[in-house]
Amino acid sequence: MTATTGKLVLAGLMASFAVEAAAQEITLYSWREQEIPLWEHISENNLVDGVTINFVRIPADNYDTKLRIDLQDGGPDMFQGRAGAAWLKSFVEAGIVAPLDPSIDLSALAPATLTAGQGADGTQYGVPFAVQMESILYNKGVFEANGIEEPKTLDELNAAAEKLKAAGVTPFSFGGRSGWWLNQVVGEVMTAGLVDDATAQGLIDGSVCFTDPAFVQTLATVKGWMDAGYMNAAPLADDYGAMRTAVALGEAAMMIDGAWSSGPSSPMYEIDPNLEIGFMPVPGENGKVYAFGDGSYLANANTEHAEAVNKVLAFTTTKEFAELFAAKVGELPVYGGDYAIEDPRLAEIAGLVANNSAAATPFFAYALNSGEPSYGQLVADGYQELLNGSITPEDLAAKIQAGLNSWGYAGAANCQ
Amino acid sequence: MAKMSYNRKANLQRIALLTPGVLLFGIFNFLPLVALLGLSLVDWPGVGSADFVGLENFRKLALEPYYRDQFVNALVQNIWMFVLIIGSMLLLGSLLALLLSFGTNGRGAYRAIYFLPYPLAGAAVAFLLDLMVQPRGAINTFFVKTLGWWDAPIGFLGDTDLALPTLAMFYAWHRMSFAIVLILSAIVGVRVILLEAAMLDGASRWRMLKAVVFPVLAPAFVLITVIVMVDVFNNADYTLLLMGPEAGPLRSTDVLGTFLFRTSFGGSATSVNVNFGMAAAIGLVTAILILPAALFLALKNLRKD
Repeated sequence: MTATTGKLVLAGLMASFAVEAAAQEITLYSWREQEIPLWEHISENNLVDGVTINFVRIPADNYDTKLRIDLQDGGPDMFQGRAGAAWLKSFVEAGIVAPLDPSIDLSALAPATLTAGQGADGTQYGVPFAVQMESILYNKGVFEANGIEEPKTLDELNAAAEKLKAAGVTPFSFGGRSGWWLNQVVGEVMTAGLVDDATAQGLIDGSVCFTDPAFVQTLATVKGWMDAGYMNAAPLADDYGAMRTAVALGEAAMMIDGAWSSGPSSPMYEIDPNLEIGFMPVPGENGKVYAFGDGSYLANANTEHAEAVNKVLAFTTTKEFAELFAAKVGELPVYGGDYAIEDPRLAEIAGLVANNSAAATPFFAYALNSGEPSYGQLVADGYQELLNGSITPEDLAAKIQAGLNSWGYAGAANCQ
Repeated sequence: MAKMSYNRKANLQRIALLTPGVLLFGIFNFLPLVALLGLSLVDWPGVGSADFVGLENFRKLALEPYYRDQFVNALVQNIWMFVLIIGSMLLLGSLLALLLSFGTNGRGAYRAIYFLPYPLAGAAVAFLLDLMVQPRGAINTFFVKTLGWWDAPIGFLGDTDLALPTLAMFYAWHRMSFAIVLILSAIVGVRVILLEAAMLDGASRWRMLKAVVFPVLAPAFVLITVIVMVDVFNNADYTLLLMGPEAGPLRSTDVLGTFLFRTSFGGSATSVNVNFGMAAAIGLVTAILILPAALFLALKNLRKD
């Protein structure tokens, strides 16, 4: 401890002394293999002054189990958490995760990503990492072959779908068998495209009800596509993989998906190595894409190296880290300002996220998901009912509202 | 040392023979069951402290609509799935075993073909058969494109009425050889003198089957039924692998195993009420529900022998 304190005092005066001080090693647990080169680079080049990071990668399947067991006996100094308050809850309650040190400034990060590291009450516990973007992904080759420009309005989108249908191409590929995709991707992308940010925020805090016409329109639009024959024949029988296969093969033109499907390791390129994927929001009234932080870096509240951990956390908020992250990990960093990206695909995604992403993320909002049935659950079930043809958009909206009311969410009193 | 009586020796032998089995069963089956009882009385998300809640988990399961409706739905569908599986396994299994017993040409090859799926892992079978029934899969391609009998592909796993029977057929296909082998060995065990006597009495082939063969098959049927029942009510591998813990479409493939999984580990990323205690309660209630039927069938089988 004395060494650390002394080092801090000296650091401001004479940087050279700090470098000479013995480097501290801290341990960081993660399930993300793709971050190994990033952290090796940081340690080797001493980018966080006087701190080396021992990056321990644990396979995703038993990450939670291994982390929880190790934490009972000290555990790592830092670890990565999955996005959202639901995951953080039990760690916060067990006293393992404490609010983020006030010295760490998150103001440079994209605001919509912050919820990844926030608790139920909005307290910031971790520094988010990796932005994922969700939008309409389309097969550029199919659009070109049918002479279609990227639609800018819903009418243009429907006209394009009509043209594709006439040409024997499925306009929208839906993988409705995958419930996680319905709530985490379809529900959110439709909301980002059709519901203006203020109304979407109102849905989360309960001042706007889910029976609001703007939200009903998100459901009605999907149902409209199905009724018009713009979807694959049995949208509930295809799963997420089948959905992507159809687009990669060019049998379908568009799908609602995450930008991760366009990443270098996407299986879609195994089907067509020359596949080119374009991105666009659902071109409705809001016309935005959906972006969220994939998870957060967390400090172990019981670590003996708190200062070193906070230095690392502070470094992850910088522009320098963002550029390294894009280059070494190949994913979009959470940094909000301008930074250099070489990969044109990442640059396009970055542009959309920075300039045109929705502010509200209902799927990750604790207020909508702290009871059962949660919003995520209701949306996944609801879209399946919708695609099954057994409910109208209006009735579904009412059902989602009633489900949330049943455990007294924030808007229960307002939306009876 | 005093000489042991025969009875005493026999008893010691019995104890020595039974002990390993009892110990193994006790350590790996009975103790966890007792621990489950303790777990069912708490509310515990798997990290941090567990809150003792008494019988609250059982009360919720019986009375709170959110849990009760899911439980009833899963139970009913589990029974339906079991009926479909056991029905097809016994009917088709008997039919195929009978055909194999008739000395048909190339029956060795048929037997090998029937047995092929059995050693495959459940996950492999699930994904293999999924490829068959997908809208762009082999069955749909054959009927829509090759024969032109169907106008549009049938979404077997996307239809709320078809999804569960489809999964049941996956299961039956995978385990069919298990039924065939057991039934065939029972058929082979039919004493030839009895058949000859029946033949001399002028019995028809059907009459011989009914009066001589089927009574011998009953224990095999009971054994298959008990083993399949315990498996179908405790496992949910096909549903979990192909339909996910949400058991879609619209919970139409939900069985007790998926309901339990969802309760302990969460169905979607937004599940906040993961509760190992509730899952333990579901497991216990399931065990209690199938125990009488399993015991009845097993004991009935014992007495006949």
